[in-house]
Amino acid sequence: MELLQPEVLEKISALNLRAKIIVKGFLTGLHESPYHGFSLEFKQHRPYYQGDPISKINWKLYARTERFYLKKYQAETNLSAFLLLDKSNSMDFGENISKFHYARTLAASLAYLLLHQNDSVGLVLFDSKIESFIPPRSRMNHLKYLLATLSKSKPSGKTSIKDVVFELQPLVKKRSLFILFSDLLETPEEVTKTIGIMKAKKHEVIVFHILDREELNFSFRKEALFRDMEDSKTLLVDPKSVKRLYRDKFNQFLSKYKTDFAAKRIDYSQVVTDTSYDKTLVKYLEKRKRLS
Amino acid sequence: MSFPEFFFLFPLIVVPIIIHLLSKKKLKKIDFPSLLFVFKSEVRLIRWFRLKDLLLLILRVALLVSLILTAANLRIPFSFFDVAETLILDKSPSMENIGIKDKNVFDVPVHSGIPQFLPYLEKCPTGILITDAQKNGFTEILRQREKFPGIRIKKIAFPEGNLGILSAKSGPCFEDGKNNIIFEILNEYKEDKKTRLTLKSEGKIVMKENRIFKEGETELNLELFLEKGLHQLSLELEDEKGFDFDNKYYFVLNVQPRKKIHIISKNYPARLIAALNPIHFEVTLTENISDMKGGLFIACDVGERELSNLLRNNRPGIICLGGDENTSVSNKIPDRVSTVVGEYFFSGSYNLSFLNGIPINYNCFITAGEPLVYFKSGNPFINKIENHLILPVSPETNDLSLHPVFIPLLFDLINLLSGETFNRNILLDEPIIIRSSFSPTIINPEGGEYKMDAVSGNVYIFRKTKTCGFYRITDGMATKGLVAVNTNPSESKLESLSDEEINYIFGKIGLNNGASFFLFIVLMCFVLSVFIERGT
Repeated sequence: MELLQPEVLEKISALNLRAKIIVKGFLTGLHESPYHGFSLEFKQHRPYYQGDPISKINWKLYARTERFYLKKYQAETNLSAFLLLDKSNSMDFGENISKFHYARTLAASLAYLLLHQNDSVGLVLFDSKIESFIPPRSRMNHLKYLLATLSKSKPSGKTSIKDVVFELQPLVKKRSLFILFSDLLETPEEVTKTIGIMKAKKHEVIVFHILDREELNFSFRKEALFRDMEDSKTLLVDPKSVKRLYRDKFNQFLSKYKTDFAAKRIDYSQVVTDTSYDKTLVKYLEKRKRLS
Repeated sequence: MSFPEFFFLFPLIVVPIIIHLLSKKKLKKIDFPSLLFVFKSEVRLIRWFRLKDLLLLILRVALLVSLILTAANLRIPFSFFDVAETLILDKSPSMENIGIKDKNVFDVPVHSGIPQFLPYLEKCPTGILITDAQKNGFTEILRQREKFPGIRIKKIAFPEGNLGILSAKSGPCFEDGKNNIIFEILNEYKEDKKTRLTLKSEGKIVMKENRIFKEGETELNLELFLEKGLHQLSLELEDEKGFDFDNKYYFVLNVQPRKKIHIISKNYPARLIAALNPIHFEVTLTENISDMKGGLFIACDVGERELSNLLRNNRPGIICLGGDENTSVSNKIPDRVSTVVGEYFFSGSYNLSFLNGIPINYNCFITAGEPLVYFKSGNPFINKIENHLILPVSPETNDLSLHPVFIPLLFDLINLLSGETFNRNILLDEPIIIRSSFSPTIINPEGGEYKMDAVSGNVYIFRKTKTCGFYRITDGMATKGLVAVNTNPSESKLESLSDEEINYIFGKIGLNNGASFFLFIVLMCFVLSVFIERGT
């Protein structure tokens, strides 16, 4: 699982290769296949191996061939997922890996995983407005298109989830799963209200709140001129003197999201950019199981 | 003592100012996702930053200034730390002289409680030595200086000045004649000074007289009539009230009997006869060496035929070669001027260093014998063949005989041929070096006997000249020579204490050593600057 550490993976430049390594590595570590139980459409037979459940043996085929075979089923799904990636300037923050890089790799990995499960995957890149909209498709060819779009994207602009959601509504008619990757640097009430509207329209939403360790700790030492990455305002700050106040306010900000999303039954995860990708993917799968 | 020369470092204080001005422009910029959570402390921070920068600048400048003042050891008018500093006091008799306000120079520091520091000298090897720097009483303290390099030595001058004997000079001394001794005097008096002179020989007073030294007079000429033999003499100076200046000067005179000198000359020996003063020598003009009865000869302008004749006989003599032809011990060369070099001691007592740098015209190159003195070119100037001394010049025809060194040279050469004697004057701690055919023993002024160490061949050395006085050289039986040992005259020329230092020692102004105070300031500035920079 060391390979799934963000610092290690960041050395691989090709996004598709990164996504593949994450998903394959991640699946290898699981004891139970996540594919099971979604569909019953027969795909092919496979030989029985010691340890397979006896109940799954095709006895009719055994009668004909006197060999043990198990039936394999192809998953069948009508899940349509949208990966909503915040590409605002604030996502460009991070010493080793920026929040944007982390979110982009995570989104690519999820796209890879979803398409391998025959789910339809679409992509929305946004700041205060939608920059790219790719409708969901379930073909594997679609992955290349998604990854190419993700690779080309660069952080810019200011976040406005409310505007984006309103812009997105006419484009999404089918009930869908929205997976949002953002640092959510907006008023929590406004964001939760907007996401709540999506939920009310029977969409499922998973929110990955992307955070950098430095944002949490605020462990700067020397006084410096701090510049807001989104509105370019500057402020002379002595980190030591404001550290406690900052941490209190930031924790309040995070708690607010946590309680508000929980109240609206929206899946919300805080993801720090030094967390390995597999842990984040597990959170998605838990949600996916519930959906199935 | 302060070292104001360190003040040249003061321009360095512009360095922190420049760094301050530069760093002001180079405030680090950090891009941060959102300033929603940090905006409230802005105004307070800016004020604090400005104050902090200013404080740091002041502390750094103060640190540098204090460092410079520490190095300069600037005096301060209060006592910050009790600095362990020892005062060492010269307690020789000369310190009894009446000094400031009817107190003598010894009493002033004594009554200030200074002697209590003396037992701590070993523990505290820094201090100030108070002395009148009179020679003999000062010697032991000077020797201690090597053990305590941190001690500053200063002289408290007498109010009227100082008086002492620095050195003595004399030519060869002979019996039945007037011998002149010239003394070099240290005379700091600004007016005529009445003194008493006491001359002692073998501890007995041979002369006592009053003498007035005029301002600026630095020479004393004594005329002595002495019997033949080695004399241990000392001259003491006292002021009219009987005050001892601590100044006893030791010297040795070797008074010789009148010798017979036979001059063998073809030409005109007037110069030579004039040089050999009839008061000191019995001079005879001789044509044939076989006619000589006793004494030694000086043969001038010797050619080949005469040379072999002279060398064959065993009478001692000085042979001055002529330049007309080659001889068995010389090669004729065109007339050449060369400079005499080398400080050559031979027979232990004769030092021909007075010949150094003298240009002499010579006309042959000596090829035989043991060279004693050389020309700068490396050619020998004086060679010894058995009991004959060979010179490549003739006093009759060469300009050497016009030179001031000629008479001392001639006298020394005669002494050398007359037999071994060792009488010299040296300074304290200077080794006695002699060349001797026997293994000599030294007897120091206290009567201690020491075998001299052989350095090489017949050269012997004795290094323990730790006491002033007379050192006897013996062959185990009889005294063969004397060496008078005196203190270094430069000791009497020590720098006097400045007014500031006198005030410091005697507490008039009470300026204290500021180095520790400024060092404390340096440390405080450093700690504060680190605290402000990191701790806040």
